Amino acid sequence: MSAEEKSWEGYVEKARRAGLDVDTDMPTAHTTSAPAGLVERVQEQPLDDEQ
Amino acid sequence: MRYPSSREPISLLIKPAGSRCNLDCLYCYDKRRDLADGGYLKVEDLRSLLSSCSGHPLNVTFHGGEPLVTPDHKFAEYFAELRNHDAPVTVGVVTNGTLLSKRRVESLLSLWPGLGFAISYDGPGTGSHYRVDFRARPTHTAVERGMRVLDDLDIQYSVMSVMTQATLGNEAELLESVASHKGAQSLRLLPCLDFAVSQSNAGARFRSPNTLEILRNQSGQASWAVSPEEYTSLVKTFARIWKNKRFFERLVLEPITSVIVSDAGGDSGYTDFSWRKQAYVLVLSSSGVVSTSDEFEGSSAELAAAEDISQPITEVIRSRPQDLWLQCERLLEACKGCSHRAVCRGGNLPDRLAYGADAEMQERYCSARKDLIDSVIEMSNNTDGVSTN
Repeated sequence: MSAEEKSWEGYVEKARRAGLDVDTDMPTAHTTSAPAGLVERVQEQPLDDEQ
Repeated sequence: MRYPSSREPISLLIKPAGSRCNLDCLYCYDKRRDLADGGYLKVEDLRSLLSSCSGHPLNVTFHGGEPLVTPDHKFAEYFAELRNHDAPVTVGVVTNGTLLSKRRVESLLSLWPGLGFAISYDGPGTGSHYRVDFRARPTHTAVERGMRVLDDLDIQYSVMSVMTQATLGNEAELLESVASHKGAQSLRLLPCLDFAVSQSNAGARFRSPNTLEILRNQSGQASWAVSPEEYTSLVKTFARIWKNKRFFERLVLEPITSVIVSDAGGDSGYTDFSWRKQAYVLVLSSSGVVSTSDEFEGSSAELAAAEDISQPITEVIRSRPQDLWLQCERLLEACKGCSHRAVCRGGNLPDRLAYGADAEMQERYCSARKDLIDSVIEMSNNTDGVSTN
């Protein structure tokens, strides 16, 4: 993390921009994360309300 | 309910050795299943499933049981099939860590460079009370040894911790322990709600004596499970320590981060906070049976035998567990009009289904989740009174 991200506000801001890879590069069960590198492409699709 | 369209990424959990494991965690849901011990996954079954997933990027996770009881020559076969897939593939392994050695890790990485690792770890001491071996002995020191193997090899990994009764009061100990490992990059707090577990562990083979009964309390929970309110309380406590002691500088904490992402309109990919739910998760077991998420209890999530699948996987997912999807759609329909719907996105459907017709428990689940979301948003806006200076 950069110095900016090491502040609480920086961390939150980066999370809000979805710039924090929560687990796109590391496996966890029960996640539908896209393979790394495909996140932006996936997020181009509408996800806010698909019912 | 959203279902994957063609070319959309899918998560594929592969259980190469089924539910076999060198540990005997009391809360293990896989050991509550009556799974046929079909040896190791046949590479033909994987090939068949991959064929039906043509065009879909795949986020592949080897899972268990304990996937590392599978020998490397079998992994070599599986990886060769994955290399032939016609869309991007990432591969990781979720392991209890006790079988990790420098030699084993290097061998696996030689077969699939970039292999990701996630460690299941419930913390030192009493936090791991339910994570035991077949003689009911604690396992945390062996898990920590495995994490140090990854640390020493400069490998980054995630940690998943099951939130049980044993976690209550041991939050700081767990967080500090995970943060002490330089390779640990994220910690996910997995709720173990285990409500109305209907199948006794007594029927399962190979269980140690102290796992032979599921002790229920009057709330309907298994003895190790936490209530929705207890889970929210745990997350709040972890979050307060994480922020106050500045662990956020080097450790992503989930579900905190997913709530922040979701509140901003993003999508973290975590099924609990995404509209892409269990319909985007496939499980291939060693017996060759393909299911949707293994979070669902029983056999309701089974899709088909891999060898019998001839149509695109999107069609299989849509057409097979219709009753299950209908129940999930009803749950999501019930969310309409909820004040927290945009951030919550329906929560964990298997947990909600487990509450079944118990309206009080469903309400408690939703209330606790709203409380969790409100607390995280307050924390992210710095109006929680917790200073990081």
